[in-house]
Amino acid sequence: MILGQVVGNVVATQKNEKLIGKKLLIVKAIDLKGKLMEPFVVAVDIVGVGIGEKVLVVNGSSARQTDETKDRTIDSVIVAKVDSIQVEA
Amino acid sequence: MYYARVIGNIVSTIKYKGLKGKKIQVIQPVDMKTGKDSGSFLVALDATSSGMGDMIGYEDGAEATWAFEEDDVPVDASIVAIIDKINITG
Repeated sequence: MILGQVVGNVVATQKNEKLIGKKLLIVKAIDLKGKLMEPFVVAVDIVGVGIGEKVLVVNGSSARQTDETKDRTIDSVIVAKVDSIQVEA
Repeated sequence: MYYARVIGNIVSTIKYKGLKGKKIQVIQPVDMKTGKDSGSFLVALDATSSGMGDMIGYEDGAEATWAFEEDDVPVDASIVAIIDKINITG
């Protein structure tokens, strides 16, 4: 899973019917200190997060293992909102 | 299966139901031959009972979802073994 931060959202009026009703967010990868990294993904939000929040993103076919994304044209999904990160000293 | 070390963990209260009750670990891939860190950290769901500092084996991609009995676990990296020892010849 990718550790990331929500930095924006995407609005698309015309889209595949299997994407209708899905919230599309732009998530940038972050390091363990919270610094924004270069790669980003557009992910479907199934937990209800907002801009600026730290999240976990699942990619690939694993992204379709939820009720909300099953059999849909989705390869990136936000599955958790991160409260805190503990790392070894 | 790939080799890594557990370097941290993540607390999340708002998450997809399939992830509830499962430990989210931060792991650092390690080169099996040299024992040195290799590449960037990643976040993995724990199917064992690993702890900080443990050397572990993980699966990534779609295989990661098979580490759990439920079929609604959206995960692309899972810890599937705690590694005690590695023997490499050659």
